[in-house]
Parts: sequence; C-alpha cells; structure tokens
Amino acid sequence: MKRIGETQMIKITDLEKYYRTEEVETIALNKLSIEVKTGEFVAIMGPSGCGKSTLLNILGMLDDPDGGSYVFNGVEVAHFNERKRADLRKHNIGFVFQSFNLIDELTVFENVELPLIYTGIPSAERVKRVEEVLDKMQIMHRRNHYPQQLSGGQQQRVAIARAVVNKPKLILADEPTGNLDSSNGNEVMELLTDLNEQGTTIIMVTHSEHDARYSHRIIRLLDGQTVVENIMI
Amino acid sequence: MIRNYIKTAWRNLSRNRVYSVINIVGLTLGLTACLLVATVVLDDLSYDRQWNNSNSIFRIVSVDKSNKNATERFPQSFTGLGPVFKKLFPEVKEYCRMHAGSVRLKMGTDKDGIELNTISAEPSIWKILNFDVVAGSPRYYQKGYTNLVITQKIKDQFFSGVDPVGIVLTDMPEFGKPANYIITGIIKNIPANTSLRADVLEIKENEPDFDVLAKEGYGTFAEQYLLLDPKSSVPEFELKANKWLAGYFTNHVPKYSFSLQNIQDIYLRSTDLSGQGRVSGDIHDVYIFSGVAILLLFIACINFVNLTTARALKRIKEAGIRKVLGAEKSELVAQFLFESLLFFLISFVAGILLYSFLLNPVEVFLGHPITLAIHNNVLLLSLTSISVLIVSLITGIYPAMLVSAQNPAMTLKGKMTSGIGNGFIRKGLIVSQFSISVLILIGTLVVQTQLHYLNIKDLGYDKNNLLHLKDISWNGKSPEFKRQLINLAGVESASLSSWYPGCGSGGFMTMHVDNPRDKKDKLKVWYIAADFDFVKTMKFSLQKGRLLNPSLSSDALNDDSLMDKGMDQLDKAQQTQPMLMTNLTAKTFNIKQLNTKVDGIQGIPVGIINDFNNESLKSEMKPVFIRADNNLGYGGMLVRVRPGSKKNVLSAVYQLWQKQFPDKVFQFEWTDEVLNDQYKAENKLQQLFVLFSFLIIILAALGLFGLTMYSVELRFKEIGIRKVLGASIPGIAVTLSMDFIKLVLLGILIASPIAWYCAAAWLQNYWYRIDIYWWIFIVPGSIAVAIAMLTISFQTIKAAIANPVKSLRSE
Repeated sequence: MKRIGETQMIKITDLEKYYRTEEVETIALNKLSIEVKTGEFVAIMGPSGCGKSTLLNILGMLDDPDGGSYVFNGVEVAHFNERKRADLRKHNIGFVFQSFNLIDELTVFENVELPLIYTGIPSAERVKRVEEVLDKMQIMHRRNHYPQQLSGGQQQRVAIARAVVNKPKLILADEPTGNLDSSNGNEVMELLTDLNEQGTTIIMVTHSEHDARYSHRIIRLLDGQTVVENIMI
Repeated sequence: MIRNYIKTAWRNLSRNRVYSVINIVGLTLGLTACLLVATVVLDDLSYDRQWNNSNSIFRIVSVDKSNKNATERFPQSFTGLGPVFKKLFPEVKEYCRMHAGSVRLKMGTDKDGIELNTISAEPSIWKILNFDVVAGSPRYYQKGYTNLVITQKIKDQFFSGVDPVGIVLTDMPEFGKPANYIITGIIKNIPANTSLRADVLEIKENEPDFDVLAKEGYGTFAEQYLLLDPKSSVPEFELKANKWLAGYFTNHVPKYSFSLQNIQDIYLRSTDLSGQGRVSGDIHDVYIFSGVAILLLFIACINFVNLTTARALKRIKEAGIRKVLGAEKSELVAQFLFESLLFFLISFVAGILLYSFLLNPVEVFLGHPITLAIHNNVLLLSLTSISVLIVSLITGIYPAMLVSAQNPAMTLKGKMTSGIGNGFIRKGLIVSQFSISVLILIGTLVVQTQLHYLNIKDLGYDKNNLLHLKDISWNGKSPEFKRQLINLAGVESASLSSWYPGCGSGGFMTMHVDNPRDKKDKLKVWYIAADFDFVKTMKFSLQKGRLLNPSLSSDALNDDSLMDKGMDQLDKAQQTQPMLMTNLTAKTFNIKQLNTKVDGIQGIPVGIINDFNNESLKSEMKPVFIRADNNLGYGGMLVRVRPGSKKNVLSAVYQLWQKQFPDKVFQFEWTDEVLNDQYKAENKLQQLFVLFSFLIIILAALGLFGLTMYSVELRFKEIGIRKVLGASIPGIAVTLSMDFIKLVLLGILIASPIAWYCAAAWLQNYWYRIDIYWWIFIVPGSIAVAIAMLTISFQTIKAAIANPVKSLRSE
C-alpha cells in the first residue's frame, strides 16, 4: 500500500501564467488550483499545450506565475526572488527530464556530484553520497563515463541519481520515460516508485496512461485548467 | 567548486577546438602585439629618467621668431648663456655644454680606426649627470688632452686583459689636426634609454671665449644644459632670464629668445627642433602605436566576446541545468568568467613566449637595445598580469551575464529569453571591428602613397647616380684630386660643395632678410658655396641670365684668404659677388633685373636656375643663392656618375682616395639612398602599419569566420526549410552572407571620415604631400569586403549544400 502523509506540501490557488508576444497572448495556466500532500505520487496528464510543463516549471520554481498563490511547505513562494527560489530549489527539489539534461562535459560521477557542490557539501561527504546513489541506481560501473557513452536508460538512471542525491523532498519528473523504450521506461518508473515509497513526493508529467498508473492520483489538464482528477486504487 | 570550474572550462576548451583555436590565436596575437608595443612605448617614455637630477636638468632651446610664419626652434644656444646665467641667476646651479657626438679613434685592427658614439662635454658634466665609476679617477680633469672615459662595454671589447687607464689614443678627424685622447677612467655602461646614448665620454675644457656672451647678438652656438635649483619655477626663470637677455643686447631687439626643455622631454619631444642630435624619437609615434596596439587588443577581445556570445546559445542549456540543480546566478557568472580567464591565461603564456622570441627582432628594427623587458622584470610582469586579468574579466563579463541571466525553464528547451535575440551588441562589435580594420588599412595606404610620392617627386635635380664623398678638410689638395677624379672612366663631372642633398640643412649659411611684402617680417634665405661645376653636376638648368664663369675672376672668391685679411674684407667682397638664384628666389624678392644689387641681399644675382628642394620635403622650399668658391677648404665632393657605372666608379674613386689621402677615412654615400634615409622614420612607420594591418585583418577575419560558423549552425533549420521551399545554393549563400556584409559596409562607412581626418592631420607634417583621393578609401574598403566574403562564403556555401533532410530531422 502506498503511504501518503497528512501534511500538505504544495497548495496552488488560482495560478495564472501567460505567454505574450507583441501581438498574441496565450494563457498557459488559467486560475489553476491544486494541492499535493507530502509523500504523494501525482501524475499530470493532458494534451500538448495544456500547460503541464508550465505547471511543472512553476512548481519547480524555475518560472514565475503571473497571478495566484503557490504555497510550498507552508510558505508562500509565488513572489520569491531568484536567489530565494534557487536556495529553496536546491535543498528541496530534484528534477528528472525527458531528455535527461546531463552535462556532456562532465562524467557520470561529476554530473551526480553537481547538486552537492551547489549545496556546499564537503568533498569527502560528496564522494560517499554519490557512490551510494550510483550504487543504488546500479550505474556505479559507469561512473567515469561521459553521458554520450551511455544508453538512454542508463542516462535517465544517472539523471534520477542526480535528482535524488541531495535527498530532496519533492521530485518533479517531466515525461521521464518519453525518450526510452518500454523496458527501460518500466525500470525508471520502478525507481521512481521506490523513491516515493521511501517518502519522496513525486509529481510527474506524462502522456503515458501506463506510467500514470504508477501514481496515486492523476490530474488531467486542458487549456490550463483542471478538468478531472482520478484517484488510483 | 573551483575544481569543477576548471574541469568544465578545460573540457569545453578541448572539445570545441575550432572555437578555442580562433580565440586563443586571436588573443595571443593581440596580447603579443600589445606587449611588444607597450615595451617600446615604456622604453621610449623611460628616456633620461635614470639621472639623479633629471627633473632639474634642462637644455637651452633657442627660439627664432624673426620669420612671422615660421618660428624656428633649435637645440643650440649661445655658448656664453650658461656661464652668464650661472653668475646672474641663483636658480642656475650649474651648466654644461655637451652633446651626443662621435669620434673616430685609432684603435682596433681596422686602419680606418673605430667610430665611437660619445657624450662630448666639458668637465662640469660630472656635476650634472651621474655615472658609476668602475676604475680610474675620471672626475679629475687631465689638462693637455681630451679626457676619454670609456664604458665597461668598450673596455671589454677593445682592452680585454689590460688596464686602459692612462692609455693615449689619437683621433682621425674629418678636418683639422689629429688630437690626443687619454683614457682617464672606466664607467658602467650608459643605459641606451638616453638622448645622450654613448659608449664613451669625451671631456674637454672649452676655450675662454666660449664663456663670452657678445652684446652684439652673435656668437658660437652649442648644445648646453643647465642644472636648476629644484625649488625654482622654470616658467618664472624663463621669463626673467629672457627679459634680461632682451635688455642685454645692444640693439635691444633680440633675434633669439630661449626656452628650457627638460632632459626627460628631449628624446620624444624634439621633432620640432631643427638640428636635433642622432638619438631622437617622436611622441606622435608613441601615440600612434599605443593606439594601434590597443585597437589590436580590442579587436582580439571583440572576437572573444562575439564568439563566446554566439557560443552562449549552445551553452545556455548547460547553464539552465546548473540552475535547476541549484546554481545561483553569481556562481554561473563566476564559472563563465573563469572560462574567459582560462582562455586569457593560455593566450598570455603563449603571448609572453612569443614576446620573448620577438623582442630581439624588434630591437634590431628599432636599431637600439630596449632597457625594460616585461618578461625579465618582476614588477612589469606583475603589472601586465594584473592588466590582462582585468581585461579578461571585462571581456568575459558580458557573455557570462548573458548566459546566467536566462530563465532556466526556457533555456532547458534551448531558447534564449533575453539579450541575444537581435544580437545588437554582437553586430555593433563586428561593425567596430571592421571600422578599425579599414581605418588601419587606409592609414597604411596613405603612408605608403606619401612615401612613394616622396620617392618620385621631382626635386629639381637628378638624385640618381650622384655620389657624395663626405666632408673633409682638403688641405689644399682638392683641385688635384678633382682633376684626377673627372678623368676616371664613368665620371661625368664633380663639384666641391658646402652643401649636398640630404645634409639636413639647405646650405652652408642662412641669412634673415626683410620680407619685401612685410618689412616687419624676416625671410630665411639659404646660401650655398660651391665650385663652378656645381650646376652641371647637379644637372640644374639655367632659366635666365648666365652661369658663374671660372674665367671671370670676380665670380669666385677665396673666402679663406679674404678672411685672413679680416672679416670686413670678406664681407665687402661678398656684397658684390655674382651669384645664381632659383626661380622661387627671384619671385619671392621680386627680382626682375639681373646684375643689380638687391636690398638686404648679400651678393649680386646674375643668373636664374630652376627651383630645387635643398631641404627635406617636409619643409617648404626657401629662397636660395649659390655662389662660387674655387678653393673651399672644407666640404664634400659631389660626383656625377654615368648610369650603369656606379660600382666601377666607386672602386676607382676609392683607389684614387687612398693615393691622395692615405690618412683620411674614405666615407661616401649615394644621394638617392641618403634621401631615402631622410624618411627612415616614415619607412619604419609604413612597415609597422603593414604588419599591424595584416594582423588586424587576420584577427577580424578569424572572428568573422567563427561567428559565421555559429550563425550558420543556429540557422541550420532555416536553411533546410529554405531549400525545401526551392531556394538555390547561391541564393542561400547570399542570404546568409548579406547580414555580415551589411555590417562590414557600415564599418567602412564609419571608418572613412575618421581615417580621412587622421590622414589629413598626419600629412600636415609634410609641405609636399599627396592629395587624399577617393581610391584611398575604396581600395581598403574593397579589401575588407573581399576578405569578409571569402571568410563567410566558406561556411555559408557549406551550409547551403548540406542535405535539408538532415537539418529538418535534427529538430
């Protein structure tokens, strides 16, 4: 049975986001309200352009909302400046992307080590933690390889290792299996499930009904609004 | 964190080889050129600062304002000024008559002896300049000799293993009897960075009449230096002493006033003085080369900024990932700055290496050693390193800020959110880069064209095949020597003359004569004394009247024998002596009637010859009179040689010389070469301009190449779409190239008026100068466009012929 805590981790209310050019204004999020509890595994689904990635970016504090409220762990963060957002992000949130987003110039070990460097973890501690997490992700034997030398599945495992090495409370995954074959995709979903079972809250954007079934709850978006929520049994 | 920066920077550098090589080569060239020019400039600026009293040592400069339109300044002054000033004005602590000269001494194995550069001075030199004595007691003046104080270098070269102090040497003078020189001491080498650059000190007491300041306002001139009380005000002293001087002369209208020139200014700020010594530079060169070197470095930095910014488009995703992983903006800025620093560090090390190899050729080019070298001087090296660090930070800050300022949500998709979209700064930088290139190219062409003009300008005489035997005292042997000389095969004619082309002045004597158009003004008039073959040898043409005739006894004077009878006898004879003059002279003094006395002019004009440039082409042609002297005691011999027989004639003249003057050194020069030498500084300027323009164009082309490479990469998809829609290969290549060509054209447009202004200002140095024609702008502009097109087309054609499927699929 999947465990969900009682405390609320995320509460967004009437969240708005617009994209403007000189002539056109596109509404990405239209007064969207969502809540996510600590330990929950939430999947966000919807057609292209419905605002899934925009929502994920705002939740990950990579982007500003244009209106509404975003409370993270009881703190209103919607209008935090970049420095505060970066600080909150590096201590609380891990990211997993469809295209892995590993840095080509760094080895597997160095890619995973990077978040620890930015949080100021001492070198010896970093080595210990990186080795631990690489071991867990069964990618230790590839520690000195560069991303281009790995398969897609291995790259995504490195990306997940990098996302969890700082022991974040929340993992945001943007179509984590989108670039993988079904076998590697399943492996990644298993890893995320394991992490969730160990207490990490996960919010995942996906097009795949199969992947969404790993979550506790599916939020379906259309035109920047919630159209339906499915609780998974 | 730093380790991570180094790792990322190094891996980025080694993975993007083309980008890295373009950047490093560009920066290395820019830094090396800048370091070399900085060394030369620092060396130039360090002249004469090594003397303990350098702030208080001044040279007396005479100022002649008698010609309203041309104030003349020269570094010699009445020899009596120093002693009189010392007596009258407490500000003057000491004086010394001294100059940078040379002496030929009988030493070494060469029968012609050795010519040494000297500081020729009186004993008070020790009170003014400081030298480190190594041996002997040179401060003690040994009477009866000229005292010679040699430097360690001369001691090692000629007196190795022996104590030279006390040795007596004899000189080999061009005129007069040989004199004895006693070596009284050895001093440490005199640094090369002095306007008195020398290997030995030649110290001699002056005759007592040197100390007299004649009330009549004439006298002997010499270079002299004053040591002033450091507390005294120089302008006040100048004013006071000039006022006194004006009252001192009996006619109360002094022809000369004086000004004081600090010894530190002599090397660089004496170009306006006539008769400056053998060691001189030009502050304008310092400005020009500093400017060009800064522009070179600027272009290299522009390349760096442009390429790094263009490349930022590929690095923003990495910056986005780092931000997502917790990097703060400041950390990203630091990372990208660090990368800039790494490029500069590598280029700086390469630059210093290249610099150390090139310093020697630069010294050869300059013709003297450089005292301060950056790589051997800890302080200079530290200062240079700090400067490079600052430049690298300034250069790196824009790309660093640009990359780190992006919104990570967008950059992860590879999209820019600010700053680089329209590339305004990048475009501006390309425009300025090509403006600078065109500016330097135009400069090169102007200098080149002016030099060519100086070479081909008709001087009024034939400068080719004209041999000049340097001035000596002939000891009465000149008629016999000349008789034998003109019988040599290949010799057309010869003339003994007090003037020769390129001698640095326009004749043996000048007079200031009332300007017929303004009686309050004076005009400078040159006099040339030569024998009767002068006109024939110089190939002048008679325009009116008659030439001077040896069969008319009144046409020639014997100055020496008249002088023996008294100066007034000579003066009287000269007043009525027949003379030749140039067309310009006749026009200036409105002389319509020959064989008539002209007011204020010494002599009677009997013939008019064509105009000729008896001075450098920097100076305006002045009135000149030529009179005959059949027995010049001192002067040079001009020999007109038949074309094609220069070598044979020279060898025959040498043999004749050895027979006639076995004790005299045979010194000769070809007039065309001497005249070219007059423009040695311009030749050097031109060579440097060619080098700089070559470097600048290479740098600009390198930058453009890299930029096109990135631009094409970014427009890869657009090119594919255009091809799918039916665009032709040339059409695509033109579309891609036009964006850059427009910028280059704008650069040319901006550079042209600036170049015109600078060229016009530089040409003001020459009385005879080229007009700035339209093609002077068109040619460099076309070269810039051609180079830009060549650089761009390589990339654009490559992009245009690529398979569109590939580019569309890559999306």
